[in-house]
Amino acid sequence: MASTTNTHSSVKKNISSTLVSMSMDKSGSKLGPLVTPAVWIYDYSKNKKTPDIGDISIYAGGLFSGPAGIVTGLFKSVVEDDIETKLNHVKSVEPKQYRDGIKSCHSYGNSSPSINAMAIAGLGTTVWQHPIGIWVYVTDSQGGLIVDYKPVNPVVVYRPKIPLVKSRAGGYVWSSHKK
Amino acid sequence: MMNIKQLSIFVPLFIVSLVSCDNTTNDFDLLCGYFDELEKLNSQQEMTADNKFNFINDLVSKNLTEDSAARISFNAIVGYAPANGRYALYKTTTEEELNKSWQCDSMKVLLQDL
Repeated sequence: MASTTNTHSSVKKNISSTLVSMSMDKSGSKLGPLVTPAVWIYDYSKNKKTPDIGDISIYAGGLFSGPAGIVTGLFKSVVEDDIETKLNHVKSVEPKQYRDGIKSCHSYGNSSPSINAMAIAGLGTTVWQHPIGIWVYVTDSQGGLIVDYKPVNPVVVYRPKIPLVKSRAGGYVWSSHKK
Repeated sequence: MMNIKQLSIFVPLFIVSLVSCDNTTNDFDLLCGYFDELEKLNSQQEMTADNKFNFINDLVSKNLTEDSAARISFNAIVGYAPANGRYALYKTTTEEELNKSWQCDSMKVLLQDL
């Protein structure tokens, strides 16, 4: 139920803040650009979610380009909500004690999720692709790496070789394991 | 019909999009070019794995930004074992990133040596 309530929360939040911002602009108020940061503060207090670099650049761009920034922001929100829904599904099938430590590779960096997956595996933790397509990785409750996690239903798993061996490029040697 | 005002918005946006696409492509092709250079070196056959890695890595560090997908994936794939599986995985992820077919013959030969 809680996850259903959270579904599409980014889109709703973005649309409502955009509408408030636009109506304030229409009415001649100069406070419109302050609405988005206010929504970030609300989002942090409610969901402990902070704006990422994409949010900030879209906001900064939106100040100058208006409609283009709004459209880009809405598109980003739709993608984020889709990923959030898929991530919640993946978490739901994994053991309860690991669920909070499972995160999406999509939000790790600016590259594609499969490139992020390789980079994260090289850092020394378990990464896998779920049959619904999403790439995820796992850490423990303190953010520590879990080298030998065995996901419930992976398409493919990337994990460091044990014992850990340093790679020439600075990370750890890792390998892939198909189901 | 689009008027001048609308064109003045859409044309720059279109050009910026094209430039962005080219940059992504260039980084992977640049990396391929570094492997081409390594392949052409007369001393390549005698170079150790460390030397070959350093040759490529110096060029990558000098020319590709830290957030370049080509640089991030290169650093990751060098840690992949078995080494003879690196190129196939790199090619697959590169094609996902670029959303088109991509190949690099020199990398296919040399990536497993690093």
